[in-house]
Amino acid sequence: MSCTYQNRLDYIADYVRGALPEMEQEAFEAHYLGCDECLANIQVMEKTVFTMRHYGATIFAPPITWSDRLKIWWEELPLSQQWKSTIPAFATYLVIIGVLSTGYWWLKSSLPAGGFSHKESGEIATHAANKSLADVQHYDWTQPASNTTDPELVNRLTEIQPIYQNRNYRVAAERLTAVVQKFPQSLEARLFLGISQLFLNHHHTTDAIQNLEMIIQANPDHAAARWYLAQGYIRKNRLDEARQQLTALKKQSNPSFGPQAENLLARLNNLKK
Amino acid sequence: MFTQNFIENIGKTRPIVMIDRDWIASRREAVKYYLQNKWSLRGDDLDEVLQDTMVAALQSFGNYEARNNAEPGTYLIGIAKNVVQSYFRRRDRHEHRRASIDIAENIGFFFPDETEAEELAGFLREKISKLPENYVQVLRLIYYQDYKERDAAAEMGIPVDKLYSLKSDALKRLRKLCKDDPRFGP
Repeated sequence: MSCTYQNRLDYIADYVRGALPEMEQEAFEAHYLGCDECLANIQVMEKTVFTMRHYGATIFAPPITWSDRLKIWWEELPLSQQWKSTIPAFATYLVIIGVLSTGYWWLKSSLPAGGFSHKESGEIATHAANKSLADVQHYDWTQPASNTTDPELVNRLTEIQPIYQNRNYRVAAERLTAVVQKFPQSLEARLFLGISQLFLNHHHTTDAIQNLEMIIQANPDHAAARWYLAQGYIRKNRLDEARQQLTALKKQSNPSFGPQAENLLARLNNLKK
Repeated sequence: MFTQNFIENIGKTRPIVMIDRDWIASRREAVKYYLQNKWSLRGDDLDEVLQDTMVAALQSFGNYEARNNAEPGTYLIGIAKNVVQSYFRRRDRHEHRRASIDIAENIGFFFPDETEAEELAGFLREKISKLPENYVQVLRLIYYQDYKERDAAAEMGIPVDKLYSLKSDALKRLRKLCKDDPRFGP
């Protein structure tokens, strides 16, 4: 049965809130007593209108933002006023420290080892993408003078070894230079001199390369010398020579340097592409 | 005004309903609702008056003659009023008619308890927040702040006709959003 009040929810809502004139109210009552559809709509509208009237403060309250929620939560925390002023101050302090630390770390990690210098800035710019390729790793010097019996050489290397191990490369390089001048045949002294020089600024890289090349000439199977020589070449942007050294090292199948050489070679080749 | 036109049109569009035993029996829930809502009857009072009304309606429907195309519910209302008034007289109580929605003190009429009413308020808040701002404003002014339509229109700075139209649309949209929720069922 089609209803005259169909879709007249506003009329029904007016009836429900008692806003209809008496006559209309009675006319509508006479209608809904015979109309299931209107009876159902009245029941729905009564709940809706009742809820809006009595819970309107909740229903029509402006939406609560996250900052409001946070404020309410904070105000309801069972803390003294002193704590409530101390905690935000401390949190702010931590945030500032965090931002400064992150900035420092970012700045430090974006600089090449040894920092920039006027002369080398071109090189570094060329290799901005492979700056990590030029990073030199410390090589442990565990048994000084194990291959020599010369007491003076033994003494001097034993004396320099802890300096090198403490990563004081500048002093180690100075003292090893003197040792190499006196004992030019000592490949051990020359190796750690070359490595120490690689850790100093780029002016010493050429000297490091010369020392390491001399070791390879004397002993082509010297894996450590070849590895650090390749690193010296990379620092000097002599990438083809670095590849040659790494290829040779790879062929030696040295258990400690072989895989590293293979890895570095692959990275160099990727760089070429 | 729309209401006036509406009243005038009732007689023209309403189909004729024959009153018989089955029809009267089918209106039991509607009569019950009318007695609850209009006369604030509850519990045993309600059961007794409802029963008396239905019996009286079934006994006398043969004498009823719809005049001027009257609503068939008019017949039931007439009987219900008589039964209620004689019931009140018997109980030596004064007639107690009430406004339809004025039941703040009696939340159990709509909801089993306040928790359910609060839940429904939360639900309505969520649904109303999905309506356009002017719909929300109309609902707030009229159904919460109890503005008359004319005052609400002035508050919103719109013509009264426009306000009626907004009110109607807002309720329809709200009904549509709530129609699947069982809490809005009878």
